Amino acid sequence: MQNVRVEKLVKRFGDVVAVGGISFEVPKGKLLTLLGPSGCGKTTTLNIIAGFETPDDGDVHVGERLISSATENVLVPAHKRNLGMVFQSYGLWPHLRVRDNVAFGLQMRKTPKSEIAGAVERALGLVRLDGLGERYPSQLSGGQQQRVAFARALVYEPDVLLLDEPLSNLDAALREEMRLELKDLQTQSGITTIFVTHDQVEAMVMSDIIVVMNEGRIEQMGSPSDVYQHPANEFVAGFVGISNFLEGEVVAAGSGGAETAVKVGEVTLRCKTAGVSEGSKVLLSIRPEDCVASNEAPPEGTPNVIKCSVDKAVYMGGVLELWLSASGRQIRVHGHRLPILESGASVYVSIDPASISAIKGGPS
Amino acid sequence: MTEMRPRSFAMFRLPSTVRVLEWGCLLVIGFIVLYPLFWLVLGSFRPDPISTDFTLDAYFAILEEEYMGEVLWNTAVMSVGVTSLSVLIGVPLAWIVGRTDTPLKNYINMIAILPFIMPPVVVAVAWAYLGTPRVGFVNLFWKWLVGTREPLFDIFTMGGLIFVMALSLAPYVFIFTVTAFKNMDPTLEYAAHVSGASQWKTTLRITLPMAAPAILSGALLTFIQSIEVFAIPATIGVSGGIYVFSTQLWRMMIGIPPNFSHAAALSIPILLVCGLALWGQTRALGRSARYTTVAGKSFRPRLVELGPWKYVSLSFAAFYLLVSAILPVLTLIYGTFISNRGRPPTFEYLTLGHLHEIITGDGGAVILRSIQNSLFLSFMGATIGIALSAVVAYFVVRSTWKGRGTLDFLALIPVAIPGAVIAIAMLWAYIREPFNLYHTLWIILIAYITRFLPFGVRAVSNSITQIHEELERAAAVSGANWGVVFWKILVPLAMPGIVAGWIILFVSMMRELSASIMLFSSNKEVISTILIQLYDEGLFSHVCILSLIIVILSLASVALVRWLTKQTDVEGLT
Repeated sequence: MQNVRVEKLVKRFGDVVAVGGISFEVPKGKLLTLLGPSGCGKTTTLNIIAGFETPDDGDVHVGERLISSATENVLVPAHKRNLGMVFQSYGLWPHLRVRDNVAFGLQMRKTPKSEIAGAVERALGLVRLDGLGERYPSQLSGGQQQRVAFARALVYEPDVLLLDEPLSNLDAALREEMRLELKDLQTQSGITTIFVTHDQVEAMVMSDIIVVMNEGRIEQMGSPSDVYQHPANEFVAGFVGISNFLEGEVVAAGSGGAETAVKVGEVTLRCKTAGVSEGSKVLLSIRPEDCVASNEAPPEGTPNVIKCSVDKAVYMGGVLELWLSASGRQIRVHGHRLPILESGASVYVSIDPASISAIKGGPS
Repeated sequence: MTEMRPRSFAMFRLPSTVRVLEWGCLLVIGFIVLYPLFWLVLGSFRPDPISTDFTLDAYFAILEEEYMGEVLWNTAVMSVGVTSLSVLIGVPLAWIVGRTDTPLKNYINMIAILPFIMPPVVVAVAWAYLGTPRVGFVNLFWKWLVGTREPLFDIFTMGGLIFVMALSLAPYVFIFTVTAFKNMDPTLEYAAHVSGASQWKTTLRITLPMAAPAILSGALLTFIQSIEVFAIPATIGVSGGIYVFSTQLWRMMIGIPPNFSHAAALSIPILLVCGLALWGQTRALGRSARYTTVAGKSFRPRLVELGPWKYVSLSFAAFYLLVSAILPVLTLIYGTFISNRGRPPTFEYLTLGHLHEIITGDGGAVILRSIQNSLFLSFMGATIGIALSAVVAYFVVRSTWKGRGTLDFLALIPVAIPGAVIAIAMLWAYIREPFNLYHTLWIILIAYITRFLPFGVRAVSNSITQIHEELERAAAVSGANWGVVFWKILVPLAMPGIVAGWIILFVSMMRELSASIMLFSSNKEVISTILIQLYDEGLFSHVCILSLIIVILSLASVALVRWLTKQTDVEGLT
């Protein structure tokens, strides 16, 4: 098991900058997710680490070993990097039995035959596919194929595991199940893992660290809760979950535990953000589920109460999604245990100051 | 593939005439394919076409023939040799075109249409002139280059026979293999790299094994073809005294009197071998499709960077094209325009005399008549053949009728029947009442239609398969019944494919030899039989002119088919 360091990685395709000088580190045994929309450079980054693409600049270290460096002209070929990888389409070899698919990496490492059989059995056991070794991949379900792909990637105990959207070919229910199973598998084996996905829920559930990417740059790097609760900018707040964005001006800067007051139109909202100066413009990000909606006015002293009128109410089962407007601004709110509201009705929305994040510098 | 597609017949209330048509189509195809086969089998148990006795004499007789062991041995050596050599040529070429960064790949890819441009009969006569030990051009060049009196090789040997046949048949291996290479999911190779396999090991353990069913499929088709092809054994083989199955059949039929029963008896085991090979071929092809198709995903194959080796791969491909196409065509041009064989190709000896001779000379009348006959047969044959094919293809691809599988199977059978065997079956079936077609053009016409039915069906069904079901559904939802959908939607959209199929049939019939050689009679010659006759008489320039006409005609047709298929993006017509 090793850590991975990526430094100032650059990759251009013609005039297009796919990866624009990004750096990050995956600590030993942790799972880091590269999250972003398609075309953000996450897959290219993974392909560079795997050795399928040649970077234009930057270094990649696995532990103390330099596996790719544009400046020192180092480019270890993919098959000598000792990595494991699971692909979006699984990439199981159709002409080999499950057992031979899993054994392949060990054969390449010249592991004695006597040891291979046992190792393959253990790997298949780990992914709960005992006894299916004699089958061909085409005789397995999608979820089972997925597990074979994991067994194949883990069996030779690689330094790092690379996952390229491995769950996106599964149907919704199975995907949810596999997420948790995968996370367990990763924690159990303690393998350093880099995971690429465009699915923010997947990223939340599985990651120790999330790297949000956009247009070849890193927008934010941090723990799932960090990224969700304190998005660094509008892009992150909008991409990771749903968010309401409100532009405002700081009227009282909070310091030493005091709350910051931001004037948005005619309403003043209090939030816990520190380090903004009075008079500066900020953009507030408020999650729909952090807003409490009720049809009666909340008790006196409740902070951040806004009276809104209902534009549209969509019943979604457990949640009532409300599209509200207050003094010309629209906000989305997830209401719980509310009667079905007609449009035009008034509701009161209150927001906990701790769940409002002010994105510094205001709108970009 | 077609099995998985929705079938438009499910949405119509079909007029009863459609059911009648389906049955009619099945009966017609069943008749033209099975009736001659029935007579072939029956004939092998009869002493002659007139008698009605039942006997096993013919089988015992051919077993006792002293040359039979040699013929079977020659056929086996040739078929296995040709198949192996074709794989050794075709697979590397496919890899070069499909998976490497070799320059000029798009030109090398022309190998795929080579069999269409250079029919075996043309390659055969050209190489006979190129490879004769004393005066063959290649040997002359060698003697001049090295300053020796010894020829480089003698083409009229088993080695020469295998060499020329493999040149002619390697493209079949190439076509199947290159398709597999191009359709392979690159992820499978990435996965091997990550697992620790080098480029070389990945090619050996992943790429090639996954292409194996496709290679096998191409090899089996080549095997069938190597038994089938008549022109090369009849020129290069016979000149060297090497008789194989097809030329042996011919020897039986040109004897006086022709020995119909022995020919039938000899045909049966060969038919079984070819049938078995075709069965294996379809199975291999099915497996190949499972290995190399990734549904709903598009990708470009990963190319291997060859570095300086790319000049080696380019040379290999260039050498193949040189010996299989360029040298033969140059020989034909030389023979057409140079006054005497053996003269250097300079302006001094340039002449149009040979062309003039063909048009006005004594032998010219026969040649012109043969061209006339070929044109008539090919035009009629292609027209009737494509009409039948279109109906069959339509029912096979779109109908929900239970009989469609049988129809599909029946229409595929002729692939496994060598032309010579079809001819013998035709003779048994149609020289008697109620047909009496012996020594007519009609028997040749029926043979052509039967032989090339599978190609016509494939051309049209490819084209219908490409027409998206939704186009028909949209018409039906808009209120069109089956008839309107058929005439207003399907036929116009399938038309380019049908026309392309017509051209394919026309050209294939123009140069058909293995059946024609058994069926032609005085005044009923066709181009290819005249070509062999002229070759036997040693009329070098005439052979070259006629061959060149075939090549030019084929080239023009390829260009036309390509243009047509570009209009609809129909794939795999050659």
